[in-house]
Amino acid sequence: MLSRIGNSLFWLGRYIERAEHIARYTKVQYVSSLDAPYAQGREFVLESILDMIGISYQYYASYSQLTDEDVLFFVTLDENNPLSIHSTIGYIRENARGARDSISLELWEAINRFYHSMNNYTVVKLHNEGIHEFSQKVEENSSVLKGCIDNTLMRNEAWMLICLGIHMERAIQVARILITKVKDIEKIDPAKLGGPVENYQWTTLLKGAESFDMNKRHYKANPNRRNSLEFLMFNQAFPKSIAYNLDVVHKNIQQIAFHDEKGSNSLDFMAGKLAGQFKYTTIEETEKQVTEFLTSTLDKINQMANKLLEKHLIY
Amino acid sequence: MTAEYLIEYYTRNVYESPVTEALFEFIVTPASDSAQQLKEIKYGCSLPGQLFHHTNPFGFVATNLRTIKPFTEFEFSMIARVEKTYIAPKTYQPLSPEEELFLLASRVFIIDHYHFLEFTKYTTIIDEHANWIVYKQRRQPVFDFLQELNQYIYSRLEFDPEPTNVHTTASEVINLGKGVCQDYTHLFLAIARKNRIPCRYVSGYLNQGGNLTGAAVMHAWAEAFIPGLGWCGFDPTNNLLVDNNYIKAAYGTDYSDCSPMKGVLKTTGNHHTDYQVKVTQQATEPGSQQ
Amino acid sequence: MTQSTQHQFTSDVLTNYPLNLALLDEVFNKEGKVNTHYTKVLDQFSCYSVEDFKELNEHAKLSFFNQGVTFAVYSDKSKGVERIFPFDLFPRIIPAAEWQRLEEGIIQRNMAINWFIHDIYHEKLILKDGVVPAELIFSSKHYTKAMLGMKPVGNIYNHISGTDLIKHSDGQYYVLEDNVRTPSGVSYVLSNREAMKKTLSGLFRKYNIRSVQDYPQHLLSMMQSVAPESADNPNCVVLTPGMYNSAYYEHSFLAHNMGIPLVEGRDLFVDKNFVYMKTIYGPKRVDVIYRRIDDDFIDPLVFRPDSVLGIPGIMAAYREGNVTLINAPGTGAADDKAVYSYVPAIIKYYLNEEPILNNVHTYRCELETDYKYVMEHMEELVIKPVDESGGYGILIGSRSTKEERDEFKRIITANRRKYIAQPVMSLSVHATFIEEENVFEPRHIDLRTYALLGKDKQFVLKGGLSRVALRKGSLIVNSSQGGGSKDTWVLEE
Repeated sequence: MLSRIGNSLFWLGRYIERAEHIARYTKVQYVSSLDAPYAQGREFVLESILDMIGISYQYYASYSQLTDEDVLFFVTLDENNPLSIHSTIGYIRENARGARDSISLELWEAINRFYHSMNNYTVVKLHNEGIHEFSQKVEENSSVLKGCIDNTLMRNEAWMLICLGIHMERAIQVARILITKVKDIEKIDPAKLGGPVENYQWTTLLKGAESFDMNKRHYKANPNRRNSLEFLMFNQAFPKSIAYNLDVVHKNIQQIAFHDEKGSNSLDFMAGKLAGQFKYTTIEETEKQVTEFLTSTLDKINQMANKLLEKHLIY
Repeated sequence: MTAEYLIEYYTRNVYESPVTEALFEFIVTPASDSAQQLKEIKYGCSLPGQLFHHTNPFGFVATNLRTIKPFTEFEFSMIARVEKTYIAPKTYQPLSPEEELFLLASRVFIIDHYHFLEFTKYTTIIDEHANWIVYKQRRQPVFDFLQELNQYIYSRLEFDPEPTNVHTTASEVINLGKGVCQDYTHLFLAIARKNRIPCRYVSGYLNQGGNLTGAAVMHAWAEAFIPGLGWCGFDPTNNLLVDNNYIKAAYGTDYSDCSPMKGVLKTTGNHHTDYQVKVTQQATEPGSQQ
Repeated sequence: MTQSTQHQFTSDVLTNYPLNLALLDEVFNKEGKVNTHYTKVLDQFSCYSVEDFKELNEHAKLSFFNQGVTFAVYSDKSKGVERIFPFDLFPRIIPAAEWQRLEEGIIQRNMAINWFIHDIYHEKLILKDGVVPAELIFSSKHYTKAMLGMKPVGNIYNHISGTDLIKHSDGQYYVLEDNVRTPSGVSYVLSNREAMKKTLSGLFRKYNIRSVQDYPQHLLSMMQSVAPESADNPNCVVLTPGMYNSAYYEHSFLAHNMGIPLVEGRDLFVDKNFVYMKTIYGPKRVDVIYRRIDDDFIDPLVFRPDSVLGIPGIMAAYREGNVTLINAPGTGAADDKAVYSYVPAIIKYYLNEEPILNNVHTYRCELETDYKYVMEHMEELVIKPVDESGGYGILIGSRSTKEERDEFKRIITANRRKYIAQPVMSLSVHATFIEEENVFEPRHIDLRTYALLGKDKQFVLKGGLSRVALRKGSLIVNSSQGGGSKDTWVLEE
């Protein structure tokens, strides 16, 4: 397979997953804040959204004040924001077009429908229907695309590269969500920790990663710091957890069987080491410095992605 | 009788922003022909990647290098040892004017030398400069005419590296009235070809022993085809006939066939190039002094 | 020569067929009788009503959409408008004996052109012998010094040629032009056949038609035959300018049907005089490139330095014999319309044979006598620029206004080398379904054929693209100028 095509497929997967996470996190954070107990400052939530996506700096370059309308528009529909959901969907289509001969007609058509429906989405419509409606559409479309990927593609390198992109991006997004929320909680008045204010934050964290329900069922308890972090970082059976996704990434890399050099510098080694680390680490070992641990994980994932891009997907 | 020269070519290039991919081509290797022989050659390059060579359509060695490791500067060098066979000026009996004219006008001759008779971008003189063109007298021998042309261009232009660059055409040189060896040569080619005398662009090295102009960089001169004699070199920059001090690297229809260095790069922004060329005559016999 | 039978139509679509006796009709003879090889088509068609035909027509169109055979017209960066190349259901039929002769003629012609290309980049004997004027070749914008002394594998330069033919009112085939750069359209031949098989399957059973589906295999084996000797298991690729190119469909179609990679310039690179493609498993050597990129863009180090479509260093790899380019660069110097008029002489010069196919008499405006003739007889002539393709810049004297002719006289006088003129050839007509009227009417057609030259092998696609000038009375068949096409059936003995 040509590196150019491989590159398009990998990024196709990453952007599909990215659009979905940004949409959901924005929705959950914003909507929950509307009736939050001991109402959080609105700015607190808006900043959390910008931080998770990593676009605070860009936002303040374009806007002087933090307002609901501006933040929501900047995150969703702003064409001038290269990290907006609108832009991300454009990249999905561009990458799919570049790899048109390697994907199914069904997937291509689903991507086109998604693209055109977003292209027709106006600010007025966003204002009238609200962020909930908008994000719901993005999440649903993302599910449709992943359904096409699972059900209409040959299990060959093309499929593996898309999956690699999806799972690598999911590990990244979940790590970013965790880092953002842990920092959010650190900002809370220590006197209120342990109470409903903190619990509310763990709940929105889990909801923002579609994990609230499963977390409750697994622990048969209310969400708290330890069980929320453990669930999203180390649970091997839950498809949103970092451990689960890093394991899939490692398996994908082995399956694609890049004719890589062996040893500690190889992609297989990097992915395996990282997946192994998550498999054999406990929450007790990490919860004290969870932000540092997650930040270093993000670095390692990015190193792995760069290695993949520079060695195999460059053109 | 022979003379041996050590030729050093060095270039250093600095780029404003990183070059992420590059393919360079150098045409700097001294040629081997009846008048000179390449005895030894060594290339140096600061970039990773292996140099490779090919033969261009005129039969000269082009050296290429590809690199994908980002860089912002690089150096390339070549050191060659060349032996020149001193060819005594031929006892040349010019053909009669009729024979010369007949040959220059014959179809086979024109077809064989077509590329050196063609007006290229560099060797076209626009109509408004037509008064700059000099024409050979009907009965004047080609060789005599070309010597006059050599002298003519030498006297009409002023040597000045400032106003011209690698894109300057013969007509632009006329406008400026000044230029460097490349410009002198293009003008020579343009006028010789107007006279239907096959003439080619030569790029190479000049032994600076005589303190001649244009020696710190690669030099350029012209070779014209004299009926009955063959290819003969003229250096309009110095108003000289080409002799042992001239070491050829390549010839072609004009500069575009001989440019010492070109490349296709992925980068943005400007760059700066330095060249350095050194020609030293070697002691050929033990104990002899230079 | 051809036997005929009286035609009796029960079908509405053909009852009022406006047979024009002044023109050569492929289907009907001068007495209005159906030529024998068309009777079974007419029999079948007479069973259909207008509605049946409309339905069949729609059915065929759908087949093109489903095959994805569309032109994409891009208005902005992302939204493309797709349309199909108009296609006609009435097949053009060529009897076996007639085809045999054409095929021999096409091979003869392209072999001679191949020797000619070799010669103009080597000894130039044909120029020195004064058979073809040297200036004509040297002044061609496609003649390139980058090819001087270049000997490609098997000495083949024009591996793929598209010879355009017409049938004149005298019943003879004439070559209209040679295309030895990158002739396109072969994917339509294959798609037309697919559409016809789905739409009129019954008719196929009544005829013994030669297949066109083997073209990709022949193309691939031709490519393999000219691979560099150092290549064990040659890696052949199709090189496209990219998906925004109007012929991208064909590039993708051919690559897909040969089972070889479709690459862009940015997928390839040259190192140590070898060409490689960038794959996810690392560089893989490329041995043969069917390039659908013009000479000017193929190597920024040698040709246009601003080209981003090409591969720097590829000409060096080519000259070193480490990769084969199909077609060779610089072949365009031989398909110039002014060179066209010398092709009969070229055939005699290299092959010592009489040309099998006729040439249309051509006036070269650069010659004084021809120029004078053209100026005085413009109404009777077709004026063409020598180096344009696609039917652009043409003047048909009989259909032009005085102003247009005066304008052309001015343009020609300013650049005589650039223009040739030919007598108006009366292209044959063929019954064609006219959608707006729901009837068959005669329309002018030509025939683009596809020939392959490999190392010790020649092949002509059994059929070709019969292009139809859909506008009533029009002689211009190019798709960019409102032309359509017909499936072309070559019959077995």
